Amino acid sequence: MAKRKPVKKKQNSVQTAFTRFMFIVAFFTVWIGVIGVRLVHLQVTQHSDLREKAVNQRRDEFKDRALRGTIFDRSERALAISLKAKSLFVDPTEIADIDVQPIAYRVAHTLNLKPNEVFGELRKAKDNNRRFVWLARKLDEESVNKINNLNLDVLHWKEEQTRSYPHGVLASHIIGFSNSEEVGQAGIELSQEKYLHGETVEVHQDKDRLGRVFDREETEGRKPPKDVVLTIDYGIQYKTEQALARGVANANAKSGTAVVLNPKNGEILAMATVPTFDPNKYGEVLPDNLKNRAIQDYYTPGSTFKLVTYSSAIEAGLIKPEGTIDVSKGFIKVADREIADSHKSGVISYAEAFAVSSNVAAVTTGLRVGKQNFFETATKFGFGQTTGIELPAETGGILHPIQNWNPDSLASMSLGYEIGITTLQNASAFATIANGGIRIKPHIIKEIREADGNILPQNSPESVQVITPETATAMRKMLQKVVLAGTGVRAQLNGYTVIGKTGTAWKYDEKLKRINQEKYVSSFAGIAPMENSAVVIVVVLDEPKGEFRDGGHVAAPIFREIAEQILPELGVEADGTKPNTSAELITEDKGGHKVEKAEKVKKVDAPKTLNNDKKSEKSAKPTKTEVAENKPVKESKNSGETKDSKDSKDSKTLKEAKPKDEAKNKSSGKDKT
Amino acid sequence: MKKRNLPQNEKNERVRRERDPIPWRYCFLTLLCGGILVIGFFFAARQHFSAISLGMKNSELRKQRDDLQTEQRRLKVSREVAFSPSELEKVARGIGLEKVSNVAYQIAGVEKKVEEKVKNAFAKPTKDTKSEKSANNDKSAKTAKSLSEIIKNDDSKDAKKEEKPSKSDSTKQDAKLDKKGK
Repeated sequence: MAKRKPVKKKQNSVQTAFTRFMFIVAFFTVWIGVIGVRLVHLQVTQHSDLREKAVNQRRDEFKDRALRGTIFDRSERALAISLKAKSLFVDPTEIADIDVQPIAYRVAHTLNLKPNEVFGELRKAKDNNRRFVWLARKLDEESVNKINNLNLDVLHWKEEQTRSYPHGVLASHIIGFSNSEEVGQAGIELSQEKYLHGETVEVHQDKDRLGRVFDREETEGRKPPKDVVLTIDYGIQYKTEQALARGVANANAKSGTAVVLNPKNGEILAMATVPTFDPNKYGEVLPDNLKNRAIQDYYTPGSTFKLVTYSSAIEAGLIKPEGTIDVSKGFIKVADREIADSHKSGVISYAEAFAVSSNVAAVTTGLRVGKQNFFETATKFGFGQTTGIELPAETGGILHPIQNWNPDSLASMSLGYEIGITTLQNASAFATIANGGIRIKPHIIKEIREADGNILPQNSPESVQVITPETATAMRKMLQKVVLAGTGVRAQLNGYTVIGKTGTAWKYDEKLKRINQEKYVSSFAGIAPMENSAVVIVVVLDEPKGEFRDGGHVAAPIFREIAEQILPELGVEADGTKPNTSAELITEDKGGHKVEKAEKVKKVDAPKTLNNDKKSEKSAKPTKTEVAENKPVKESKNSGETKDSKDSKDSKTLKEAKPKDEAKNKSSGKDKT
Repeated sequence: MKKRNLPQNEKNERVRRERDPIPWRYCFLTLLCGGILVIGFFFAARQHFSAISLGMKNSELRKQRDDLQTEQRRLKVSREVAFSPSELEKVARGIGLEKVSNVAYQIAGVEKKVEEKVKNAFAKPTKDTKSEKSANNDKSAKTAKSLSEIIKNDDSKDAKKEEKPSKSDSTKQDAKLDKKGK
């Protein structure tokens, strides 16, 4: 029997394929499973550690601060602007002991620093194991390049910002300054800190292995700082500062302030103080020079305050400018005090009395007005309270409440004593007269602007009707007389009408605890032109020294210089008037004073077009009346408690304000108003 | 061994089994899924790398913008410094311009001193110096002459001016006093 061939079992190919396929699937499943398990292990159990490692490798975290906002003047000229700057630091632990000295010396030589100081600081830090030492801060581009050329790996840069004041001393008291941490310390920099301040945000940025940043995020939405636009004009500010500086130097005064104000809208066009400072070098400035005296210092106004006396009298219908008053007696007795004029006048109009700054007329008028009415008018004019200007540390001056007044306080205040006012308050009061009796709150910020140009809404400046337009008109006429034929002839302008009032007061001496007759505060407050006024300028000089130092001699010419330069710049049309002669006043003076040639005054270095006006030269010659502008207060008794009353206690009659007579005055303890 | 009664020549009928289509489906499906996965990964990777690339470009542009803004600010400061009034004044003085001031008044004493200085400066040279500096001094002597003449003229005019108002004042005052008396 033939053996049967074993039947070759045919392989099932399909089965084989399927099996193989399943093997592959199984392999991949296992593979993926293993990977999955590993991933779960990595991402669940080791998640935090690995994440930290990864973040540390690729991520930079630092604080970034936006550049501080810019301060502009009204014509968009940058007055304060921030720039990026680099600061140099080292980690002393990265430096080998042997390298400390050479590194310190190389850096010091490159940056013109003292090598021993740098080395000493570095050595000390190294010994104390400090890990951060500043070598130099806020370097300019050139210095940065020089340091980079040293190729020292241990030196590191930190980006900071530096504040630049491109115009130097210009408007420094307004702008103020910010410290090395870019925080405002004075002026607008301080008062508008919340707008100007550049917000600090935490920045995270991811870098690849080559250090290229590919992702960046900030912790919070950054709010960019705002720009502040001021009402001042850099040209007007410069001219005001220059004129004031020259005036202070000429008068040999201790300090001076000037404010230029637009009476129509209360915008401050310029505010200058001398001595001044450079905010770029605020570390080198004397603290006293940092003070913005126009708002932070108050002074005894003297005769400029007679504006309030006469305004309240006219407003109450007690007097009229053309009405007459008999001052022939030459003095008036109030309480136990005798207040006198420097020269006797007869029966003169109130306007004339105001023009020659008669003390007797002012006191008589003030007494007629009464305490309550006088106080209310002074308060309405803004005295005794801050103006609310957007500058820090403004003082409200001194205006005692009526219950604290002495029997002779009203008389003293009628002359501008027993009261302390700021230059800005005075400017605001004169602006009220110029603006038809409406006082508009003075302000120095025109607008606050966001980075995208949006302007933040601001309240329009407050306005108060202080006196009626009729009273304001009457006061303007009286003020005109002062400039045309009174103590303010030196304020006359070619081509523009000017009205104003001079003021000269003796200062209270803290050391002597009484009035010091050698120390004056001389001022002039003026408005130009008379109608449709464009500017109010107030100039105050503290302690002028020299032969002639009353307001008409030292402050009025500064007013003139400022006004002559800025009125054409403001586009104010000349109203065609020419200066009047001071002789008119003398002839009108019923007292029959002779014209004395006190000094020879000539027009110098004026443009040829202006030199043609002979009248202005003539009018510039001072008369006896001008020299003895503010007349004395005669004291018969010393009584009272307040500082100001003490001031007036020591005062006695002053026949003439000439220095020749000052020696005599010293002995007799005379006062000046 | 017991023989079984089985037909010798009879062959078994071939069994035809229907092929199971499932493996191919699986295969296709796997491939499809794999493909989708690969494509997904590809797109994701592409997105990721393009995001990184864009991030880098973004950071470069941001840096450029910052640099340009810094430069713009620096230039603005330079411009402000260059156009600041004090700087302009310095430049103007540098090129010989003089400030025209509208300040009109100065105490005569000071002015007289200035006048004297001017007169002294342009005073006629002595004989010795004349011979030494004859050529150069001719011009200055002429100028001095003309200047001193101008000053003299001005002085005489001033004196006349000063006299006139005093006369008129006195006459006016006299007239007024007369009226008063009447």
